[in-house]
Amino acid sequence: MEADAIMDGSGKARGVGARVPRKEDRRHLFGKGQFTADLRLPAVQEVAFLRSPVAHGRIRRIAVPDEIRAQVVLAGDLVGARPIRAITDAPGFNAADLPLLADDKVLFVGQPIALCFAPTRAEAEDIAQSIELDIDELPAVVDMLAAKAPGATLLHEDWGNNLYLKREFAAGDMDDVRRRAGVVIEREYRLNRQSGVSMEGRAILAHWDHRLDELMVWNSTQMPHQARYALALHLDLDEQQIHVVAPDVGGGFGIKNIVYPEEIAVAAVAAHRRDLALRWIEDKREHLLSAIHCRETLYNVTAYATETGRLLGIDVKVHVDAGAYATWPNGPNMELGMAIKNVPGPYRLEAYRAEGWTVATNKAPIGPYRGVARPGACFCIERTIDEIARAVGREPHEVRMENMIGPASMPYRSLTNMLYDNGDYPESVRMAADMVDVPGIRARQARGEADGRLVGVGFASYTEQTAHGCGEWITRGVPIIPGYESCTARMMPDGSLHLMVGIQSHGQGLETTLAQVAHQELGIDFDRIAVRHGDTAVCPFGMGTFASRSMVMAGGAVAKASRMLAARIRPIAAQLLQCPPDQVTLRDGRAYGPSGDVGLDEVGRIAYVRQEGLPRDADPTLEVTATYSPEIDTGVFCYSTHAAVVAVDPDTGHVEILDYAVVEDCGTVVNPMIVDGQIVGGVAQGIGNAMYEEIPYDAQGQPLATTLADYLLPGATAIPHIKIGHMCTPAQFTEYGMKGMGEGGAISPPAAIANAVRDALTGIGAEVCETPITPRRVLEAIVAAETRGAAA
Amino acid sequence: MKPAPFSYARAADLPGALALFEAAEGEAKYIAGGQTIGPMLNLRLTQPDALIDIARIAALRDSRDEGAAVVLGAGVRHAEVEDGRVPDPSAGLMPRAARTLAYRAVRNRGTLGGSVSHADPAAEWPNILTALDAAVLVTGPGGERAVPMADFVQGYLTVALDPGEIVTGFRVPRLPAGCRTGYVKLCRQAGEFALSMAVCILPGGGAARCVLGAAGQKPVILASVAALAGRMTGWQAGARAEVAAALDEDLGRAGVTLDALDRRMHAATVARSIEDALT
Repeated sequence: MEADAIMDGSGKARGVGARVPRKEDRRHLFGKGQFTADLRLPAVQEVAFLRSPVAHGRIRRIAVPDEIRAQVVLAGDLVGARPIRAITDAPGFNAADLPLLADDKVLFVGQPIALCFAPTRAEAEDIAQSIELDIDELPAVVDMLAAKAPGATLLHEDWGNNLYLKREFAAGDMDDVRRRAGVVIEREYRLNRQSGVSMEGRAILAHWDHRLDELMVWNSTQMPHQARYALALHLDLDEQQIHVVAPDVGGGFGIKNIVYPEEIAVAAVAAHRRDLALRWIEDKREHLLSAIHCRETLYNVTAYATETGRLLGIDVKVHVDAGAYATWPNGPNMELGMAIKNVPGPYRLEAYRAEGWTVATNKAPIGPYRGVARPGACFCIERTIDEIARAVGREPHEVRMENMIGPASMPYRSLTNMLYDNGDYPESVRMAADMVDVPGIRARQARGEADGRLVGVGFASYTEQTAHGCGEWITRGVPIIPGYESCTARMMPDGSLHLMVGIQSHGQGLETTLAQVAHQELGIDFDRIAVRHGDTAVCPFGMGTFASRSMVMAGGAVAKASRMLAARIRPIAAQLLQCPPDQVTLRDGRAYGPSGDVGLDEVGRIAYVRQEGLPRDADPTLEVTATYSPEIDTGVFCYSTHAAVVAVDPDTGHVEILDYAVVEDCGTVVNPMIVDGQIVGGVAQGIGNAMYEEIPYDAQGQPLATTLADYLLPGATAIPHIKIGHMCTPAQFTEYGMKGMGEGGAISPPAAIANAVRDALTGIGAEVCETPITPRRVLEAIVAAETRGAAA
Repeated sequence: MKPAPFSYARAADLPGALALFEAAEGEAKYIAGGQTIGPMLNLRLTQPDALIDIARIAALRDSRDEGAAVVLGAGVRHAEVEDGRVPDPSAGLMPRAARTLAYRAVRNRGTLGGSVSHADPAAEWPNILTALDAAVLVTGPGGERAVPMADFVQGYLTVALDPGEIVTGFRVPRLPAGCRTGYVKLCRQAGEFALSMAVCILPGGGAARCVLGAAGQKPVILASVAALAGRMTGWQAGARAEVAAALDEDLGRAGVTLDALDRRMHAATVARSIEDALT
């Protein structure tokens, strides 16, 4: 059941569950948002970086003309700054320093070498262009399998190989499964390298505040407190001397959950020089070149099933192409662990074995992007389930439902030791199949299309761990272990409210949803509640926004803080109402007793400025800080099934999405409009992953998509209307029963669309096992199948 | 992504533009709508010393109907073609192609002359105007001349313009009444450059003109395909193999080699452009 949305004075529901328009929209719609590039400070110098033009090489000389030398910072000019070293606890992890500015080796095209500054960005680029680089080129390591092979050129010589990490996992009796299997499916799946493209790129403005004697940093980040911690770690400053503000942030998706060398370099120069305000606003080319990349993973899977399509076991090898360096904090090592953990997905398995390698290549570092590893894991299992269904001649969605963990088995501990808390996975498939009308599609396929195109339907399901705590993060071997989030709630003398939180909102609408929670608990008018976030001097410590955690974590902290605040309000109100505190209830901005009521403004007035009216023994401070973590730290699992209907042009390989449906269950929904918006946005990014976005590298390690002319993002015409169906199984272990859901939309589209293409091409016998599913790749698969058919 | 320094001057008329070009030190480039040169400047792919802005030259915006032909000024913007704000010699082909060109913001500024001078083989106007057998009107230090489109576009991003010359307009023969046209653009998504672009013009009486874009270094005139299309009275699905064979002849003659996948894709668009014209 959903929590009842309470009404405010206007008669509109504004509490948990209400479709409240976002507080954020006004400033953004009126163009009044304030991003780092919008800040107007006197005498700001704009920064451009000179970047490596080669993939692998040793720098012999950096020739800076004398007349611009004062506006150029090289590695040797940095004072009180340390290279980045992402040290993880993962056993056997090979670590390497990531220099803030390269002065010895360069390991990928786009690696920063010199920081150049000038009154305008154009002048700073002129300066960068006038620097001459002399680099001895070394052979580029571009392919992850070649990088792993003996004798490969080494990126980090002291490692002795090109491996960040190797992992293995085994559970169940694979030999037994192999003996019993009537069906064996072997496939290779490849997700190619892409960027995570946020509307606003990376951005930082840093200057020394002489009054406060601190480094003031404006940073487009998802995690201002972690950024402060990282700056203190890498600079010779006390953490009390660093103030980080994330103003409006135009999208993050994980890309801004990293503290980059460029950012630390800018902060280092501002901290050392103290007379310079420096700002770096990344452009799209820099973003595509040097912000983290993502997704590049190779899966080789062998699946065992019975002759009726019952899944028995999965044996998978995973290669992750992690690029040249580990970034701070988590480096590339979450990808592999999460891939291995998530391949089993929502299915019952008797045996599971996985082996994986995270490989270094001369490409940009990879890192977390919406969905982190799960789009690949989902692609691997969901494409495989379809192949099992085809092998046994059954409808893929039926085989899917039959193999899923059912509601009666919940909670369910997976073979990879994840605790699926609750939900009805098969029902999500049934609903999605209804929404796209599978019998209707089968009839349409039988009729054929007038234009010769081939229609197909595909499904992909996932179960997604969200809002996990320390227990989960420790297993990932990452250096930062998030457990809790905090909220400081401060009621003002006039009864209005500030919520200060450690998460960051950059599109998630948390300024709205967190206010809904406080409104639910305190009855204070929604319009009189303001959420403050993204400022380390204002907000209590928090990890930030990532891993689909902020609504559960910060929402829980707001609920708890609100209840603590109510406990402070009641005795003061009780004194006025001449009743015991436990008889006071709060709603509509007022406190009600058995025989009367009083406004919270009156309570606030007494608490702050008419203190003679306070009860003797009460703590009068209407300000509390609450810290919250869910009752379990293994996370709460949202789940979803996506269904795609496509038309494939067999002559050109073009794929059009005709219909797309999403059925999801994220427990109790705080704001249905925001949840739907997150789903649509996630699916759009998933369609980008599935069909458009890719950064190929040539044999010399040159990236071939470095502008939006070559790097295709899905445009408005590429995104169909997305049908959304909701289920609601409230979590047992969180406030209100909420589950996280921010990333989910991006997980299934590659698998669902690939399965739909597979379905469309059944008659030809072609399948696509690689993303993005470009017209050329589809055509290649068709021609290969036709050639096989002709030879047979 | 900011341009390297350059000087900027706006020309009031054509003689003024030529004089500015003559007087410029170092490399000079003309800019009109700026939709191609703008990004190239910002990416520093081109770093001219001087930019001469010809966008406000009235003579470049002149379009007129001469009866047997229509003259379109080089400064005519894609959106003006799309909206029918200039005379159309092409029985609707040009407005239709304009609608597939990039997106509206680009079409509001980009010009016919700029697009053809850039000569991207995957762009609309080089292919459409080649199919329409237009003549390019050029003014330069050596006077005025008219060059057939087929001779004007010489290769990939290469045109027959001498230093300082400006494309002033296009003389486009008017298609006869009853002429049928076909146009197919294949691209990754709306507004992108073409992966394949096929144009088919059937004026009647057995004549035909077919052009394929995005296959070679420049628009490929398909004589064998046109001969075949001219003989057709209606579209039969079975004609696809014949079209593909004729296309192979044309590509061979043009020296264009394609792999099997591209050949299949281009054969499909060429066949569909004929089908589109015939139905």
